[in-house]
Amino acid sequence: MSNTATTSDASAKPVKINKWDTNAVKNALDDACKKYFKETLNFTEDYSLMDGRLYISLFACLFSIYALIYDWFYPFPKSRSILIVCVISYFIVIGILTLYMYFIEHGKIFIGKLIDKTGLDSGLRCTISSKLKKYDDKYNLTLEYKEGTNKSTGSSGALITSIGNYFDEDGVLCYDRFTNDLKKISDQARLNARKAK
Amino acid sequence: MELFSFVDDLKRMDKRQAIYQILNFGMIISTALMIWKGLMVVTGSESPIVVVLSGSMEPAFFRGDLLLLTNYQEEPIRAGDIVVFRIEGRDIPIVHRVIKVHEKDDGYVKFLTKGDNNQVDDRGLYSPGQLWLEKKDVIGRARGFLPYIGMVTILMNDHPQLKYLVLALLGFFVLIHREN
Repeated sequence: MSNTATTSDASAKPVKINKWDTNAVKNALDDACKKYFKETLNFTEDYSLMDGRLYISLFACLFSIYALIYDWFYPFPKSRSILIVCVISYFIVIGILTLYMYFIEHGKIFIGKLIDKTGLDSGLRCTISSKLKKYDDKYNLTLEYKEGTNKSTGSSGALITSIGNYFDEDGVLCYDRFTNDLKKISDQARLNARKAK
Repeated sequence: MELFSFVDDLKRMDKRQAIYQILNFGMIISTALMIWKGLMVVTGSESPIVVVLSGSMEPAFFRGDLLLLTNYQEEPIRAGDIVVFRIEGRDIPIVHRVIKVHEKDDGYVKFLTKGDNNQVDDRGLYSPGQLWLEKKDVIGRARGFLPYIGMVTILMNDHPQLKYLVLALLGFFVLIHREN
């Protein structure tokens, strides 16, 4: 279908980034990881964490838009109480957003679910988080697998490698090398999950 | 070209990431707006930060200085205070010193202002027929100042294309820069 046609189009072009920009490197690796899990391993992405972030940001912006419009129609001295409420609420929501991103999201880049088409009741849930410190070259990737609704069984896998393994001199991402390593740790983790069950 | 590598970055962004970029931009603007509104509430003035536009208050304030104002109604206006006021019908605020104050028992106050560096008082600047200023014309009293910083505002007001260019560039970079 057209969806897969466009994604294969975009993936046919190798990803090239500025290799000295740590942020771009992390984003490229995270994107490649997500792509591998979505396309090759056929996980369906769970957007609830990202949606939470979007809703909180939208909520904050609504306060500021309301303050702007109210102050426009009822100039300053009359709008004082509304402004106080809006300003304080805005900063509280921003505080909530910061806490949300730090504690709840905490580096998670992908939450996915593998629905077994053969109808077996256990769906495999996978949570991936990644970390790349500012001027460091070690990329930490952590996978966590949870089988079905039983929260106690689960396994995790971790990958700590230098980003130099995955990017060539021009900053082009070597997708195949990266996916090989991903495949190794994800298979290992799934094996452990089956064994623990 | 290396410069346009961000275009590829953009194409890799999915729908939610793009929405987040826009919301992030909105939040940066909102933070600036909320700080400004917060200052308005705290100082009680409708324009808590003004730029000195003329040299009529030299050597106290020079053109391009930034002034922080407060407008607390409980504090009486006295001769010698530096006030920022607006003449009815004109929107450019003027920063001058109060030289004469008349006060009635019921609290009605009228006063006359003059710039330190001017030869005559401000009656020439007031509306035709107006001889005194009232509390309602006052935006605030100068409480603190930062030298030279306001020059940027003067420059951008004299050359509006510069202002739009700077704002467009800033907005562009905020929207493009992807940070997780």
